[in-house]
Amino acid sequence: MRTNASKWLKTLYAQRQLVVLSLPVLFLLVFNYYPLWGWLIAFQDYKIGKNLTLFQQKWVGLDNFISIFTDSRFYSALVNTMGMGLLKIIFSYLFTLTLAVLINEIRLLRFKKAVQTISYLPHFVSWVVAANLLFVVFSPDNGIINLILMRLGIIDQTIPFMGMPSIFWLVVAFSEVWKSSGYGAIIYLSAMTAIDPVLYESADIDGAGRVRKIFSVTLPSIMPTVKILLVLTIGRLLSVGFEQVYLLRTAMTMSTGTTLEIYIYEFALRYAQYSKGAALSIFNSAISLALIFISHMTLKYFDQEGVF
Amino acid sequence: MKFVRNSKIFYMYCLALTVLFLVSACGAGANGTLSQTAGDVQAGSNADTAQAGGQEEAPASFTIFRMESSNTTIPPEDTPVGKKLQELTNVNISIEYLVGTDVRQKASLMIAGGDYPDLILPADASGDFLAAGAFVNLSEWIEGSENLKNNYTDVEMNLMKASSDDGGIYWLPCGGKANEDRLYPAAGYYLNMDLLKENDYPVVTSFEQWQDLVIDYVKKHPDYNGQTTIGFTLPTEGWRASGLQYGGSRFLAGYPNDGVTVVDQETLEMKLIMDQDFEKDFFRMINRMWNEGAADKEMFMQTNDQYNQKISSGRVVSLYDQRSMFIDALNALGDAKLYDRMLVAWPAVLDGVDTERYRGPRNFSAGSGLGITTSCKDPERLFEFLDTVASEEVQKLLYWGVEGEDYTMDGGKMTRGADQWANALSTDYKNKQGLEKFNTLFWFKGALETFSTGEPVDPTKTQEYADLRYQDYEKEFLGHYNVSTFCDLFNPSYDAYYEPGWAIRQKIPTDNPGKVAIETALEITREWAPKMAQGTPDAFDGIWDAYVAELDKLPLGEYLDLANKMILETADIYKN
Amino acid sequence: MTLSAKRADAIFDVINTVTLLFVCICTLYPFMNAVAVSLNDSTDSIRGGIYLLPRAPTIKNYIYILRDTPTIPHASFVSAARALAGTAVSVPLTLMLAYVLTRRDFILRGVITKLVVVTMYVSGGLVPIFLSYRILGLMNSFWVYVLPGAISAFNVLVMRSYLAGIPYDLVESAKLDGASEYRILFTVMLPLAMPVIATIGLFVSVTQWNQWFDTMLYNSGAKNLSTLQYELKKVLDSSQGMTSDAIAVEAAASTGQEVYRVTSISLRAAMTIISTVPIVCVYPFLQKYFVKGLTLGAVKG
Repeated sequence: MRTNASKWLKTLYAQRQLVVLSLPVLFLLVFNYYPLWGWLIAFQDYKIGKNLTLFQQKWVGLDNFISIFTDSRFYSALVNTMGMGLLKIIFSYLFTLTLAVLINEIRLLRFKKAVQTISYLPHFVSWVVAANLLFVVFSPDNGIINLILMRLGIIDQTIPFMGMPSIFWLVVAFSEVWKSSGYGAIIYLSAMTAIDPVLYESADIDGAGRVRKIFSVTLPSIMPTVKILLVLTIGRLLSVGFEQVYLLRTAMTMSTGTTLEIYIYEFALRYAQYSKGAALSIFNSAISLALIFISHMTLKYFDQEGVF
Repeated sequence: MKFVRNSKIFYMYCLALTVLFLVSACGAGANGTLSQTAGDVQAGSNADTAQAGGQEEAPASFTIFRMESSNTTIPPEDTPVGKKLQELTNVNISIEYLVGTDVRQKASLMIAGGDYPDLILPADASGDFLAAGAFVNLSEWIEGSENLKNNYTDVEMNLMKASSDDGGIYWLPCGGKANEDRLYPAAGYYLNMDLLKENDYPVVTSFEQWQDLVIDYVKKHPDYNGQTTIGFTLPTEGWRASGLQYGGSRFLAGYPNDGVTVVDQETLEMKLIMDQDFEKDFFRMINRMWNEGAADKEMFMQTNDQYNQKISSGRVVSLYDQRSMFIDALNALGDAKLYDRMLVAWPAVLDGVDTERYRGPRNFSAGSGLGITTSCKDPERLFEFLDTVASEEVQKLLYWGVEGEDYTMDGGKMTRGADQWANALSTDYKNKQGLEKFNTLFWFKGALETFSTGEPVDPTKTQEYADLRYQDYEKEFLGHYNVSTFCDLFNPSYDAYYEPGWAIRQKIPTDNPGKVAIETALEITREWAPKMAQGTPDAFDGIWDAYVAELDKLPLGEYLDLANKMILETADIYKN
Repeated sequence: MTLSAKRADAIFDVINTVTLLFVCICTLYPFMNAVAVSLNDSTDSIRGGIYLLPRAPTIKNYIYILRDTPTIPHASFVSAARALAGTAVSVPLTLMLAYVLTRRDFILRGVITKLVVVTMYVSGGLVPIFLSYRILGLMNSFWVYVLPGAISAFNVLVMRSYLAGIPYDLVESAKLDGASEYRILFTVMLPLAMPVIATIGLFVSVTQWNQWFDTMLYNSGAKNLSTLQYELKKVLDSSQGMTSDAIAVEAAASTGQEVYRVTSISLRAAMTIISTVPIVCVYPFLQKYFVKGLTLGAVKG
């Protein structure tokens, strides 16, 4: 035991330069971990501004959790969140990756640059603007999409895309694709720049065409990036983006459009139910950590090599 | 090659770091000025005690937070009116506004942090600040004040005292004094002028009649300017859905505006609107419009921009809303000279309702107001400042503007020439001059009152203003009804005899379980409204029952009991 | 390469070009539309129906924002400064942390990795974070823009993933030459990591540039620390005229106040353009580094 410890300390001393280089982790301890004391209020009936210190507040045990877990709105919010989260992950993966590959395949450098520059633009507009654009484009009343579909004879009555509870999850997923595929592609493109050109040359010698090369060189080479992103995103399944959903939701789509974050906002934060809010964020964190643990382990099982 | 590129990056990095330190120095400067300001305040109070001989005091500085967004990008304190205010009071003010968030979030952060600006206008969060002990009791100072004491009637003073449990006065209601709409009613069931003309200018008073007119008109005119006519629409985006949730129906049954509740005008019994029979009639109307093809198909999923676009295209025949919510669209109609598409409000009521109270009482609301916070270093000086602001001299400045620029003295009376009126109607000028920028903040005098010199406090309550404001087509339209204002189509306002329900709602702290239940009920109404609207007429009753069953699950009684008790208290004050 | 393979390549090129052109049109249209709306008379814009060209051209909206909002120049300076400073602080720290996490022999690697990753999924919540930062003395200071967000777990992982792709032999041979860890990081790894540094730098600076919420939370009392996005938000709020609350509207209605609002549609459009243009200007400059990444890869091989 003792020799182990001293061995450990010895190694630590030998690696002191690396320890110095890892000092930035202090930032996380101070700015991310220290505020976690706030979780304690989940077990209290926390009242703000009464000049009470944290430990003078009334402790209520698990009451907050019980009142959440017996609320039927909580469960429907949970289902909506998961549904939207899954669709978002699937669609943004497919589109972002495809876009990155396609951009990478452009031979004309100037066109490549132009496409890249244009495709990331939507990332920079706020959701307020983006949501408004979507409402205009999808409007059953002179919206361009309905207009085109009518002209082409595909439909004979306009479709109120933004007012259909059944497709609301898809609307969220696609709006995400529109807004962030271009920006998300940057990370893959950056990874593609690191691919060894020798790999392409040897594929050429094997007589591989463009499409073949995509599947046998480009994609396998950026697989590490794809995997790490996938594992990380799965952990964020429950964080579907408050602003986006809140703005896209209408009176018509409330049944399928209320996510956990909206539930927290509408019923906890706006009405000073901080303890319930904290309880929900503990729940959220627990689920997220469990998800990322599972996905990480799965990856490790198949790949031997984990993300962490 | 490599070396060159690296050194370039190195230089860029150095540049960035330099900027970083420059700016952080600038940030330190910010702290410097802040502490200096605080120093000023103390210096001011020291000077106060030292120079009790009545010599020139050093100007004091105070910070003010308004729980509402600014309506100008030019700080009002930097305008001519603002400068003159500082000159008259010997106090420098700096006003901060709510930015891009909701009142509750900002209020709870302020309360959690515990350091407040010197003066807060808390809007709907007054109850929260009071509960958190953020405000200083002003009662004694008001007793000893020069102007503020005389600014309120006994009833008003008692209402202010009734706003707190201990009978203290913690805020000065500004802009809370009795007022009324004189030219355009604030809300109503709107119809466009073309429809009214086609029907030989009928007087519309019945809800049934109003619906029939709309449905007939839409059948006759399915298109307008190549687009389908929209018979009826409503705003439904976010908080603007209040007209749909409860705002539209209360008037139908002859109640005035009491927020989410209605108050029986005889017994003062309070009821929640959302499950009442007249609410059912309101939704039945939307259902009928929907099934007759007159309702806007997009009603429940439109953004506010789309709503305004529809109105300004002239396609909308009727709607229910508060005028200020679609004033932009009306302006656009005017600019496009589509006068026959202008919308006129009507006081429609259900059968069997004798009196409509759309314009409601001229009420005094003590629900919210300016509170001096416990963080203020020199609250007495700040109160002194507020007392000076309440003087006629300063009130004239804030309501009428700067003498010689915004009004002229003619035979000892304030008057405005044509140019001055034109300025007073221009938003741009008002922003730059500071006109109407201190309303609800420092407007202590009621808009319906008159100054001791005889002029009305509010220049927009003069006949001159009405003549300027109405355009020819409006005057012509009113001629058909033999009335001189759009408000004359409604019952007049009357004296209040209790404090309005929405003011009561402001006073109740947000974490009150009953208040939370009310908000949940509003969400449920928003969710069920489309279902009630879009069902077949036969299915309507069933959907309504299911909706009411949802509401019944909520503990709504708690809020009603508390609020009703508060209303009765205020009614007692009016009686005595 | 066979002829049919060549033909397949050509077909691929055509399809690729057409697809990407379509993508470009879809993404560009809203911006062209925003430009058109921002250059259109604000009352006229309410009527809708503006697509690619303004119907009643005017630059009034820009004047309202840029000239009649006296706070904009200083706020732009603060925004630029925080974007620069934020990047200057964040990128080196991220690089350091990412590097130690690639060192499989590092004894604290496991602990630090977990510490980093967990921050992506847990948060103390708005109020506790606010109170904590207040205790740390970050209120009304420029540092609140730079320090709390300096290390983003996502950025660390992205950078680590890139550094892991650099052959470990380089580290080994540098070590044999007696180089310190610092030297290895800054002279061996740094030049090779330029593409990912450019990417992370872009991520950080864009996030910094677009922030307004932290200004509202922590610095709303210090007017000279106001940022461009925050001032633009104010302009937008001022165009909507009042608080976003039904009760406030009821109060206004019952007191008969008239609320005039500058039309928000065109202002919003003008704001979108104003806040997007600087980023669009910076981006091509960094894009160069992505392209250079390819040559670096060649050297490495």
